[in-house]
Amino acid sequence: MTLRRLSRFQAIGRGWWAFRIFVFLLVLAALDQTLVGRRALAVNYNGEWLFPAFQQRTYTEEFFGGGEDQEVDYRVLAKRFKEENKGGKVIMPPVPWDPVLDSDELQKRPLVESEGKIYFPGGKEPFSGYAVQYWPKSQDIKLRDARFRSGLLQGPATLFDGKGEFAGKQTWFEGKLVETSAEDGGPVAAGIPWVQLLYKPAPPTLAEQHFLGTDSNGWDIAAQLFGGFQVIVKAAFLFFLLIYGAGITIGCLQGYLGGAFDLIVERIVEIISNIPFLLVVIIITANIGRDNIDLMTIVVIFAAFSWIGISAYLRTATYREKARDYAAAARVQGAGTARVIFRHILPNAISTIVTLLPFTFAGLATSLTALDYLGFGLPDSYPSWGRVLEDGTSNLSSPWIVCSVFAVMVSVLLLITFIGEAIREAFDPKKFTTYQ
Amino acid sequence: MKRPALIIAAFALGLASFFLSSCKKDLSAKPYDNTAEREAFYKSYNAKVMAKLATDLKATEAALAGQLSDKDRKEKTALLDGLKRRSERPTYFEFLKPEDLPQDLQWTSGEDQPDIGSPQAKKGGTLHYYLEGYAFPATIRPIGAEANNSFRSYHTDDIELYPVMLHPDTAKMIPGLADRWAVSADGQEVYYHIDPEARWSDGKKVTSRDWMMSYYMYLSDYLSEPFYRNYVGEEFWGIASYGDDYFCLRMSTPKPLAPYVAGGSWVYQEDFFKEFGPDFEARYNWRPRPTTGAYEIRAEDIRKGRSISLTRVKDWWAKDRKYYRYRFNPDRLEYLLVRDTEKVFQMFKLGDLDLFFPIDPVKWYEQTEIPQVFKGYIEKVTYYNQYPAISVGLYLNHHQPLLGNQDVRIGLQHASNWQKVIDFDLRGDAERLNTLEAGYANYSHQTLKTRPFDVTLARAAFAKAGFTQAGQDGILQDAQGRRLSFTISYLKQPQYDSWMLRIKEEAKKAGVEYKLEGMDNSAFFAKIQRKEHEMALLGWQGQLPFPDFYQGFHSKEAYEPGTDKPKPMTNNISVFADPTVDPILEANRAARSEEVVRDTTHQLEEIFHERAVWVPAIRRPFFRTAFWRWVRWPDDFNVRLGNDPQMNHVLWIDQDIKKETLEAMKSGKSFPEKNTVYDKHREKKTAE
Repeated sequence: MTLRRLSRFQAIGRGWWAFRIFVFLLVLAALDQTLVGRRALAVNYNGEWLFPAFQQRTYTEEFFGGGEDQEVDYRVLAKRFKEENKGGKVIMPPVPWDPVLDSDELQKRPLVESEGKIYFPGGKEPFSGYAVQYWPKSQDIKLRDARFRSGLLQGPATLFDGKGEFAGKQTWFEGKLVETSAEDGGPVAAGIPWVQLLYKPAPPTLAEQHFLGTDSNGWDIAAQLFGGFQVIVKAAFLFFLLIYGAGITIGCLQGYLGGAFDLIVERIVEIISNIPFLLVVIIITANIGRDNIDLMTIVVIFAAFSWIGISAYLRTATYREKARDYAAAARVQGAGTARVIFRHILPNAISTIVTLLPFTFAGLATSLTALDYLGFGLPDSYPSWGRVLEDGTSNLSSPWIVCSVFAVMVSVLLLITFIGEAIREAFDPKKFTTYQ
Repeated sequence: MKRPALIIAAFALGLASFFLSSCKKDLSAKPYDNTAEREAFYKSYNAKVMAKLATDLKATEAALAGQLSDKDRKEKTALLDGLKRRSERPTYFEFLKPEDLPQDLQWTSGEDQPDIGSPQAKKGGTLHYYLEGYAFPATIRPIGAEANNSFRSYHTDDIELYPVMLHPDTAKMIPGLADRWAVSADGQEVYYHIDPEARWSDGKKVTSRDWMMSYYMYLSDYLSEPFYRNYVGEEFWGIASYGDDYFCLRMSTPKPLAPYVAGGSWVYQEDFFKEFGPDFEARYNWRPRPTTGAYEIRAEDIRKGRSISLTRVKDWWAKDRKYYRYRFNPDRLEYLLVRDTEKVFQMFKLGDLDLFFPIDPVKWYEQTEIPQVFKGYIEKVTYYNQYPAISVGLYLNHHQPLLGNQDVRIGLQHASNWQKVIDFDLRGDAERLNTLEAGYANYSHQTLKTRPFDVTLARAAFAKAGFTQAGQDGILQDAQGRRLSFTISYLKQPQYDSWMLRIKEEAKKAGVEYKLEGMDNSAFFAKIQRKEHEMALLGWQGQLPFPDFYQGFHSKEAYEPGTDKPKPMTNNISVFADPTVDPILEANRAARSEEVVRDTTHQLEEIFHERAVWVPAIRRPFFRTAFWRWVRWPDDFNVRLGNDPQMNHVLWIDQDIKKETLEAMKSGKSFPEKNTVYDKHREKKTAE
């Protein structure tokens, strides 16, 4: 029977494909630090191979001959090894960022100067916006901070001295200096390269390995989407255990025992289903503090409200199956309540709730996202699609944020829906049984 | 049988609530006159002050007669001297005649300062703005519960006049309600002559009786905030009226700028506040009060849940006075209730609001790159001001066991990377704050630098406190297994969220965990006032002319006397208590000269730096604003001592330009784009 269902499932092309892709995604999610993370997969230091991503131990900067007693930044280490060229080697994961609390340094985009005008990289479009010049001697200290219109200096500019402190201001109009408060008029603008500072949210760049850009915290979006998916999968695993465990047990008992037990549990169910779920979450968040919430808390709260649906299905199914001859026969043979329920009735009643499984997953994913979107869900130390979505909608001028999270969400939910559809069809009782 | 009983009960309940509610209405409509009560209060308060003086005198004399250390003896002698001087004129409320005025007074009138504002200013028009705080104010009363809301400055702080005002550019004294004033030889008594033309907005004359009424209100137990009772009760020895036109305020210590400092509490009209009594808060919640300033609120302009408007007082008494003639220009100031920053910004871009303050760098650099700006309809200005900095930072609750440890606090200063917040989140548009009271020009400590972010130094400090073991998550622990984990409470707003996440991310490098607790306004302040926080992100707006450390750090404000229970509802949110620092705090508050203010301020800043009482965050030495081009400003744009371009009311609305701009917008005509920086008052740090 189960085999037949499985082969039917495989025969439904779209669902089977979706299932295989989803399993592939699960495998990716299980790879965890191998794909996404700030810790190097492997480091060759002084001829010795280390595997920081797979070890509990944290390596400090001092360990690698650096100055400070903090965990080493492997991205910086990789650069250093390259410069030193002494055979040290760092192999980073494909996305070398932690999903949260790991922001990049400011990115600098050099601008092109040609025939007295400043252009965007590529040299076609004249530059409008704000750009800075650095002192030629040291690339970290600002010299001038100015505004451009159509490739020419226009508007106020600020001058800084060799220590980076304010030194005076200038006013420009169409590339000509109109006014200055610096005694010598300030250093000449021409000849020193202009650099545009890319503040967060930064667009996707290959060089910095932000494949989907960063959000307004400067956190990598690809890493967050990956981490968010992991969280959802983890949550789903726990969630299924809880709601199916509770739902099946309570539903079956209700259906099988009936009577007063059924009556009382039904009233409890009514009470629970009338409590506004979001309010409960808000109250709990306010009481224990958002940063003290972990995944388990949220999942338990979710589950406390979600087992009802499962138990309702099981209750009716058990009522129906209980009246069948085989259930009576089992009882006559001396089987106990538990045995009758779990060995005889449940296998016949389970098909309805198996088809629910993918939809429960989709429901959980959207609720978690929605909760984070509203700012009541998991603390910021958990990556979350909801927060990326929230960030994206409040920074619509940075379209890469909202586009990537939207695309990922839609595709995952679509996959799940395809799988769900196929399962439902495969488990459809009308295909196998005929009632007499 | 059950049912009728229920119905009767319901009926009775309805009836009761009807009567109760009508009772309430009757109460507020009931006339109340506090004249007799007030006169009795003057007498009883005088008696109370005298009795206390007598016992204090006795106690001090007794103490001096006994065995004392040299230091204590010196203090007690000074105290006795003060008490003796006070007993020469012991009554708090005095009612005298003009003939009783001392004859040797040197009267001044401060007429030699430059004008404020621009002679080109035109009167008329309406300024459209929104209610800051995104909420409708709870009341328009200036004192009492919930009066100190974010709208109060718009209808009281920036509008009402004191007897003597400070010139907002030169910081010298200029006339307000008084046309001349004099200080006694000992520097403690200030005499004011009320401008004969000074009128309330309802046409009544301003008299010395109004000050008597105000001081009665400040000292009355009906006021729920203890602040005024303490301040007026402790900082003043008394108030005297010399007929209707003269009055005198006697301070407990001589102060620099005494006429301004002594008169720096608002005056309330005697007639209007006749009903000041036990229920005055409910009574005066929405009752528009007569004002001495240029704008009044009319009853019909309070549209609850929608807007509040201020109207220029018709024939305002000071409208032709030297320092007021070019200010307070628009006929009406309209404040709309908008509940969201984004919406405010959209409304501004549409021209529904005339002004906007884009603090957020994304708004300033990116979201205002719009056609309205390119075509010159909206102009942008950055103005470097000199105003007491808002002391933004992480305030540490020293009552918490870990935060009571100085090494931990030093470590936290090194572990909080505010420089990165400035460079990343604020795009370099801010400075690192180094001291508690910055921006007071000479009074502020100029050379003190706070501890910079430094992982090594942070870890060294934590190690000194015993936190040497890193846990699995990299957070440091001590031998007892206590983790370096602190909850930061802060006001939940997008910009603070991103700052706090940055601080949290960086602190982890130093082995510290910050738990973030974003809260709404009232819950946040309630928690801090009860001293239940561990760390809190907030800032105090310092007041001119002098820094004040007393409220924030005196041990009297820290603990309930004789207990180790933090005292709620005080401003000492660090719960800092050190008897050795108290005398310096007292000296700072009671300073007789500007030098003492400066020296004690520097001394205190050094102590607080050494003890790492808090983690200073950022300051912005400028304000910036975007406005529609029909809002006009003086040539220098604004005044030096202001933290908000509106507060000194130097702007005006040019109706002709408004018409021209609206027409240009229709026809597509454009004006030159304007983005101006006024940096006359910008500080240059290093001059090489």
